[in-house]
Amino acid sequence: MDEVGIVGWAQTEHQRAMERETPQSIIYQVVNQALSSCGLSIHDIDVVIDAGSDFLDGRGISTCITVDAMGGHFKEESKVAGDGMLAAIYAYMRIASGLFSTALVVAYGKSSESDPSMQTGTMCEPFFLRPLGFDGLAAAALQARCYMHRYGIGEESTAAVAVKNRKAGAANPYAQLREEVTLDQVIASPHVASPIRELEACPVTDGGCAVVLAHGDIARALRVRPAWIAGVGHCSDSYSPGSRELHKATAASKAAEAAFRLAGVTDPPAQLDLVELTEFYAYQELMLYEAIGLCGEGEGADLLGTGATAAAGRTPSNISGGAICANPLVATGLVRLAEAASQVSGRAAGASVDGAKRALAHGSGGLAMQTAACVVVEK
Amino acid sequence: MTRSAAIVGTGQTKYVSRREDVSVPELVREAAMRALEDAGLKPGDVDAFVIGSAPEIFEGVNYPENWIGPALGASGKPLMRIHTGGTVGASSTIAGFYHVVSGLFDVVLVAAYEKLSDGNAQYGLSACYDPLWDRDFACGAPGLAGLQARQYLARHAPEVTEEHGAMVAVKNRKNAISNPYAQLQLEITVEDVMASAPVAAPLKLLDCCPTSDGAAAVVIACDRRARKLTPRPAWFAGVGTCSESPYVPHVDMAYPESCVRAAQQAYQMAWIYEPYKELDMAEVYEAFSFQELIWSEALGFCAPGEGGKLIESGRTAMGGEFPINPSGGVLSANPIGASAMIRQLEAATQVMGKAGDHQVPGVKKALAHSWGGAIQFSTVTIFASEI
Amino acid sequence: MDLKPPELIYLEGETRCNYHWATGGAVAAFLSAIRDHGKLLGAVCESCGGVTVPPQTYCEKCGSSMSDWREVGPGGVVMSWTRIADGYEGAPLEAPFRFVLVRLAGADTAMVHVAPDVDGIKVGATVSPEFKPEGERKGAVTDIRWFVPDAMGGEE
Repeated sequence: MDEVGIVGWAQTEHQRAMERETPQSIIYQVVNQALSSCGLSIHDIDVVIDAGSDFLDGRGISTCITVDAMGGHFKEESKVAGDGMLAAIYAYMRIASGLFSTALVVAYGKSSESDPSMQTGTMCEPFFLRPLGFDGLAAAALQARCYMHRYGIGEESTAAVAVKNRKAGAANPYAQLREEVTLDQVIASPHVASPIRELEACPVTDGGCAVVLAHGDIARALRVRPAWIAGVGHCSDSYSPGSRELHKATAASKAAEAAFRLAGVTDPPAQLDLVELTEFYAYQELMLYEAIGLCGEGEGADLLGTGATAAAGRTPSNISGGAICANPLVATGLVRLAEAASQVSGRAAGASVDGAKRALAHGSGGLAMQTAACVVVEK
Repeated sequence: MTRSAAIVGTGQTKYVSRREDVSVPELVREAAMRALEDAGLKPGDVDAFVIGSAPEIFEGVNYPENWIGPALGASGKPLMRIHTGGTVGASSTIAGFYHVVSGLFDVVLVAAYEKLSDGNAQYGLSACYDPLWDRDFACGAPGLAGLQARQYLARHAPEVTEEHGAMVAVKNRKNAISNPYAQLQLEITVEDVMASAPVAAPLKLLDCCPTSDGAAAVVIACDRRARKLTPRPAWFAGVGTCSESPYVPHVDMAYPESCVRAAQQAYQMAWIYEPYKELDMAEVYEAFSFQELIWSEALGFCAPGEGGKLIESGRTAMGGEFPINPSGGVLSANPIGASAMIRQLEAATQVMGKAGDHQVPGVKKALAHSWGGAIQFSTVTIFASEI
Repeated sequence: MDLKPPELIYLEGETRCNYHWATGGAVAAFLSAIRDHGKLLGAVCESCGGVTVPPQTYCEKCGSSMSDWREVGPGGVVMSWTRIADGYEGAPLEAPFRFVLVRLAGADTAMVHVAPDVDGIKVGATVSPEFKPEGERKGAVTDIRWFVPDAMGGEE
């Protein structure tokens, strides 16, 4: 496998509704900025791998009209219908094969133009879940209660994740939510689907992200410090919520395991300097700590309580503010990758983790974290 | 040095207009299990899965790969879905190819499908048009293909005529008779086609593909594993894809630049300089009869404007020197999400010598083509018996 | 000429498609059993032996085929629940109501369904399905109106 580096990236300043933008203008903006950030032009790009959602756009084959905005005209281009992190992994494969030198990864979501809850409601199969009006929030709520009940996790612990991430988001110029919240405020916020409270849930966001990958030879020739891709992994758990062990983020565990194996990470707490996790709901971050091996089963809340995953802790988690501060849906995982890359290359826009050398970025999809994609990046 | 990869097993379902006996996951499972059996493997032997499908609106389930994956044995394994419109069956195989040649995985199962009977095909196709500009005028796929055919005929008249389109329909529908999986198997004449009901002039009913339910799957293995799994793997010799914007001034549906470039990319990779001479056959995505003429030119099988002469010569019929669509093509079966993969499956099985009654003798190099979107996405895959 | 628009323009639209989903053999058998007999069925995996409810023709956990049927339930245990306070389009019941994850007696997987918003719906509570009257059932999972607690109690 040939070496692949992340040499450039850009994301929008995520907002509830970008009323002056279309999906095309969002894409065009982040692509241009990502290219500028590494001094490449679109003509230097061999392949564009993108992620988008037809249902979200209200448009079959979304790439029909976004392909030119992303610079895909007269290029190799392919769309991954999942989280942007998966598009990054596919782009990685293209370069690792030795057949491509550079790749542009693009992901975006403009939730303001439609009803975002329809995005997960339609993920439900038509026989047993759709007739019940089930959706992603309900699935997450069932999972949250499974996890919290099994390990005796109280609502203060999940609320503490929201407090931590909202505080981090305040320092991130790209985050949509830039005000801190207190524990009391979180616990006083109404349940959106018990036990999940409103202030523990990700917002509805318009935004986009683009990342430029390059073959090792080119990455080294560019006058930018790349973030090297040391390992990748992705995984899908079984589908029906009742057929899974909901108290575990199994897909994340396996995806991280695969990425760690390639990256030579055998002791995550010691070898990772930070993690960027996709926590659509606060409880998910606690489960993810366990899944990626930062602590043992059921110990996520304890780990949080020690301060180890706070901004000044041993393994800062979501110093970007995470999905709780901005959730441009399809782009959310790619944003985690851009954030992780910016930290290990010393090019973070907001708060930085001093001396960060290695990070894990995680993307999530499906009902209740059914799917996961992980990338380990290194200085 | 780049790794090599080959198709070592294939599977498909018999294409029909409605498979009401199975759900979507069961339909895909059927093809996947057949492909695994053909390769002598079990689901547990697969390292990663790729699923390809057309716009989610057709079957009405978002992120359907999450629902379908477990039916293929993908629970707990890497899985991703590719979605590139009409080319998706091929671009998902191509993604599977990169899964392997990247060095990450040794054995990958790729499946593609369509179950149009669950929803409304023409509505779904019309939803592909831009709501800002085109949707109010959309009339599904035949509307666009009719424009394409009209442009092509206008440019090359009188050398190319409507009858040449009809000849493609006659040839391919007859070829389908030797393909047990084809949905439509018809012995018809040029007169039958010319007399059939108009759909979107110059397209008439018999110039058009059906709507189908069906699934196809291929197993791709790396060099080392492929040689052990089958005596005649179908090696990926050349792969090219290209996309183009539908809104630029020089878009040319009658000679699409994306098709020309995808082909160039694949020919370069496969060291092919004279496609018509060096390839033994081709499977092209002719959802509408005239498209076989158009793709033949854009792929370089003949010069622009000579598509009519080519079909008339009989050289692209079974038994001719360059058979095109011995399977019966998309005119004989069109489970949209799978159709592009079926072209690759057919080309690969020809190379493997497993095409049964529609086997072309002595195939060493075969080309599979697909198109999608507003005639703006193209893929070309070349399989070879040796690399 | 000034190309800046005087105001932003939005286009309204709707994508609404009707579906006619084929359920396949196992799901059809499950739904017919509910509709015609008020009974719940699980499928047995030929490889891992797990009893899956609701059933498919394939085992989600191991990918093998299903070989046999078993009657399950009718009652079961609540594995998880969530309270939905506000109504929405497509909601199964008038809000507030609860979604539940119920493992029916004899099953190795749990199924998602709905329940009334009462304290008796807790993790560990035993519940039973209340079927709609036979004339109202149409072969859908909503032929079960909801799951109700057998008694007050359970953990939490």
